[in-house]
Amino acid sequence: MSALLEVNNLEVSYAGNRGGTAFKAVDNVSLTVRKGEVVGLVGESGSGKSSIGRAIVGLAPISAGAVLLNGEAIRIQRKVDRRSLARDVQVIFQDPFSSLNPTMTIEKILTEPLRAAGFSYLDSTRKVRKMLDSVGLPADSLDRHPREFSGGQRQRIAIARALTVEPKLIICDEPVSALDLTTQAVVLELMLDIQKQTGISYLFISHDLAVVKHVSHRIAVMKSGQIVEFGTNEEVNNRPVHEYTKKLLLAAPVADPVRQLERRNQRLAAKLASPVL
Amino acid sequence: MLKYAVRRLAAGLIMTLAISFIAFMFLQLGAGNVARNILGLNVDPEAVRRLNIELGVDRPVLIRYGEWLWNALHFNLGKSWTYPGTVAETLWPKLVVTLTIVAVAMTVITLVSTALGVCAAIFGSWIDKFVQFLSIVGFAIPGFLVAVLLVDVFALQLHIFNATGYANPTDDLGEWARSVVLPVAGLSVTGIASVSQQIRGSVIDVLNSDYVRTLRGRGLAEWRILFGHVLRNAAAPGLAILGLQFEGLIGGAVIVEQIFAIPGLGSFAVAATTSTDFPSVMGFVLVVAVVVVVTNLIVDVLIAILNPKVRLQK
Amino acid sequence: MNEQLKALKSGAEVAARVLRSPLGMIAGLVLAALIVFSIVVPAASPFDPNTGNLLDFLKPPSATHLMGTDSTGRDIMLRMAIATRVTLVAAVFAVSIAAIVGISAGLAAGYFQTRLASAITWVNSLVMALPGLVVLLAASVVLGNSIWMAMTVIGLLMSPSLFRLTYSQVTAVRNELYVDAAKLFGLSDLRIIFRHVLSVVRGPLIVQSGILMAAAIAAQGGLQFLGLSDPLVPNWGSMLNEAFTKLFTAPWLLVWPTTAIASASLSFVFLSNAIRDQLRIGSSRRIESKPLAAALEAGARREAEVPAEGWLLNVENIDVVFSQPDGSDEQVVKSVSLQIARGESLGIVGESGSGKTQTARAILGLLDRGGRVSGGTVSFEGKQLELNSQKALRGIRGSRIGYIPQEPMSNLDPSFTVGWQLIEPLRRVGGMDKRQAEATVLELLQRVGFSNPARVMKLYPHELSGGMAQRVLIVGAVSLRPALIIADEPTTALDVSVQAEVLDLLREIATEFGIALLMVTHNLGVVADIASRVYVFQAGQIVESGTAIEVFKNPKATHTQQLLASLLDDLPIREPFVEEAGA
Repeated sequence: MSALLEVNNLEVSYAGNRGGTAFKAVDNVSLTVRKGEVVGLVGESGSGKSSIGRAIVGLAPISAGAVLLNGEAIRIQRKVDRRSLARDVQVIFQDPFSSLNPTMTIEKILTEPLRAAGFSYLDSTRKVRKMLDSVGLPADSLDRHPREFSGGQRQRIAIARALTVEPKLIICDEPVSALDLTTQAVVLELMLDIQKQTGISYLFISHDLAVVKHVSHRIAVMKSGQIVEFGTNEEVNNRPVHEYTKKLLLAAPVADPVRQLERRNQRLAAKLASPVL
Repeated sequence: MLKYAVRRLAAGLIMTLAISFIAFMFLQLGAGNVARNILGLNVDPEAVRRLNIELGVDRPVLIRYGEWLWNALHFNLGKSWTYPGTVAETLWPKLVVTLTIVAVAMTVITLVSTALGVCAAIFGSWIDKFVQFLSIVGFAIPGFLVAVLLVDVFALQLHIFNATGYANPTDDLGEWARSVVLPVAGLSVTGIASVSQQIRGSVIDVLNSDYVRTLRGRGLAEWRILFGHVLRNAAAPGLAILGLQFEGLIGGAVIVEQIFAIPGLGSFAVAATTSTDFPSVMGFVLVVAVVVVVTNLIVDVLIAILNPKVRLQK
Repeated sequence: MNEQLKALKSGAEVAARVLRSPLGMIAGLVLAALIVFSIVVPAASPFDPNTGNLLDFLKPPSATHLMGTDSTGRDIMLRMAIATRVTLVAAVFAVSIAAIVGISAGLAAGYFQTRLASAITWVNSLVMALPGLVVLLAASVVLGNSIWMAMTVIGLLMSPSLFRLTYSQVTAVRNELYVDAAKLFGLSDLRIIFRHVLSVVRGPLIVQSGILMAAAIAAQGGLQFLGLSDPLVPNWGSMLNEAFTKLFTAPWLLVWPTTAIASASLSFVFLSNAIRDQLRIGSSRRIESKPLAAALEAGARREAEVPAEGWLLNVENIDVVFSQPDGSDEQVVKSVSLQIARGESLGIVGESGSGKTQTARAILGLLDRGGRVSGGTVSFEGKQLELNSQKALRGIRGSRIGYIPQEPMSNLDPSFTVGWQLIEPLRRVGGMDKRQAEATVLELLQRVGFSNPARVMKLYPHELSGGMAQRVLIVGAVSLRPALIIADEPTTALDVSVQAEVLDLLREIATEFGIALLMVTHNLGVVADIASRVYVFQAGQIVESGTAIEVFKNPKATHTQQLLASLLDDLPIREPFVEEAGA
């Protein structure tokens, strides 16, 4: 039984400036996401995690390898291909201030993917009204503009937009990183609830292990364009194999001074043992 | 750095070639009228034909361009069809006159705009509003209107300056200075208006930047931050607009020279085009193109000196 | 960036606001008057614009000829009215051409960014470099005196400025995420350009078009002044020329064309500026959810023990306000008190908008324009500190209190090498000579982890990575051996592993040099890692304080409890995935 999403030996290369050497952002990466599953993709900046997400939906150039959805290769050459892909795969972006067009009303923003997918104006507006409710936004939001909403609210709008076409998979590219601590938790819970209720799959990209830990079934750790560890949530967090994963786990400080001191000492000891990483 | 300058120079040469080529081709559109213009409307077609052959307008266009280009590279711009002597002889002194006036105007624009722009940016409040208002007014009123008004007020009403006339600086510096005050003023007003706005904008941007705050945090004196860091970073956009301003002044000089009866490039250009004097027009276009290209090159190099990101580009 | 992406709310609403503003109102009235003038007079005038009674030449304004007559006896008012109409229509024509050519080229080149785009840009700079009047002269010879020809050429000559503006705006917008989203939905490029790109960039384009109207009027006038226009059509430029030649005999002739040209030009420029101001106001009105006023809860303020030699820094009840454009003050910090002892590490924690950054900046006098400390007292090293006096603070900044900012890359001057930027304050503020300063910097660069300090000194900021830049900034803050360093979220912009290293470095240096550390952060983990005492901020006030251990173990304030509850570290790991049966 094939997975919902299959990424096989993916390579993403960006052309260098003025014909210089190409930069390989993603190097021979393979992973799968099953129906109803959440796979977390963790890495620091430059690890290639965002490039994978973008490559899957055709926003980054694939130089080698394949991406399969339900066993079929993803095509994005023609607009009609893109439209059919959009019904199955959606994206939630990181920056809530940049992912919504400031000159459009919320109604226009939310109905846009539905209209592009071929739904009538009436059907679209009906679906959208229902959607507002499930992300916890007031009904009068539809006539307002993005600038009237806070960061957390805008991210809810972005989530609603991704959900309107009822996709099978959502690529979440650092969806809570730009939000305040308290807002982060709330939005994350919302995303988790939706996932549990609808059975949508997520490819959840983040630099924050703690965020990924809470929502993912399986976790992939990336460094310099490659996956260095890929296992279940429990395995990666409690029994990490790769040195980099261990280092990453210890690097993020925790809000407990006593425990943080212990972790720091562990981290420094590990650094002395294997200096260059 | 050198590589960058060489690249800009090459781009400039190509641009000069392109401009001269386009101008040459463009002027050919009006070729049919040339002989008729020179000889008059009611003339024997045979005479027109003969003059056309003499002027060489019957040969293939590209060959004629090639010939012109070859000659031009040897500083031979041909013989003028309306002025006595060669184009180069006629053009040179007029070019000097125009460049002198434009240079003076540029100096005035640069100094005044920088002072106004920087003051408006630093002090803010009413000084800023005042400078902005002056800019809007100075920008909106066309240069030739300003020149006309200046003549009206200063020459006619107040009798301070002469309305027209131009003296050679080598003959009499004082008289020359007096004769260029009004033309320079007419040329400068619009320039000061737009450049001071630009400088004000870039200085404000830099003053609000993070690194200026950090420099204050290091304890550096405000004047040192201003002169050592802010102006340097704000200079690049200012230079770019000053370059454009210089190029624009060449055009502005045309009208101002008409108003003040100055024997410069502008009046030469008007005369040459109205009498379809091909060699003169081509000579004039080439000279202007070269001036523009050299200006751009100087501005680019200056900006590269100031901005390491541009300089170190591979 | 968002500053320039003016959201054009319904056009009618913006237009109404523009016309109500002083500049807009004047401009609108003048233009309306000109238009009415150009329509009414020709309809009502009994005179002929091109032939006049030669006996009536050069008469000053009278009852029959309200604006007087020109040198061939023609009625000036009629000629002015016709000239007004011609000028305005021709200007609209020219700007339309400039807009059609410039904007569509800019949209295409900016959005698609192909090789063709760079070719177009090259052609654009070519056209921009040519002095307009020169081209017009040449064109008038070939194309004749027709005003439409001249306006087409003027329009083409003006298109580069619209092209450049459109191109730069589009280049910025096409990287916005909402454009990516639109691409994902499968919208056609044309639709993306019109719905997402043009709607966002049209504000500045409208402003620029208004300014081009004034330029078109000026260009027309110039051409006409030189005599290169259709002699049968009355126009301002040639009337101005006539007035100029008759300056000594009939100086009043100057009044009418001057007024017309100046007022038309000024109106368009005023109008453009009014539109630009209104767009700017519209987009900055962001309704941020106002945080609730914080209440002081029982046991939340735990006083620290005063050290023997007194506090290094003692802040008592300071208020920080920002003056608003409408004259009122917005209070961002209310009645904040905090203390730090020599060599101590203090954490200031809160969410965005909690006032923590403003407090830190206020202590150093680094508030943004419009901000000031409006109440309270501060003493440093036993002496009173006047926080609103830049002069007083300059003596302390860098030498006694160091500052580490948040974004490493944007906090270094891009025009100077790292070495120069580090050495300059040592010489100017610290009084060291060149050799001494260099040696100090090299030593410190080594200390913060650079293996080749000499090479780093020669680098420019854009050649550094985030982590490297932050270390350079740490050297800068530490180099004069201050007693206190105020660090404003120094690790927020860094990767988590780099963050850990930078925190280690800060801790070591603080201990080694005996520097007290005031760390502003929103990350509770960072606080737990580096601070011994904590102040929790909410809505501009301190809601809790105490040692890190106390505050984290036993938070008394609701806000602190909320913050701790939002932490994800202690949340349960997700249960394992269960495959659906028969999938």
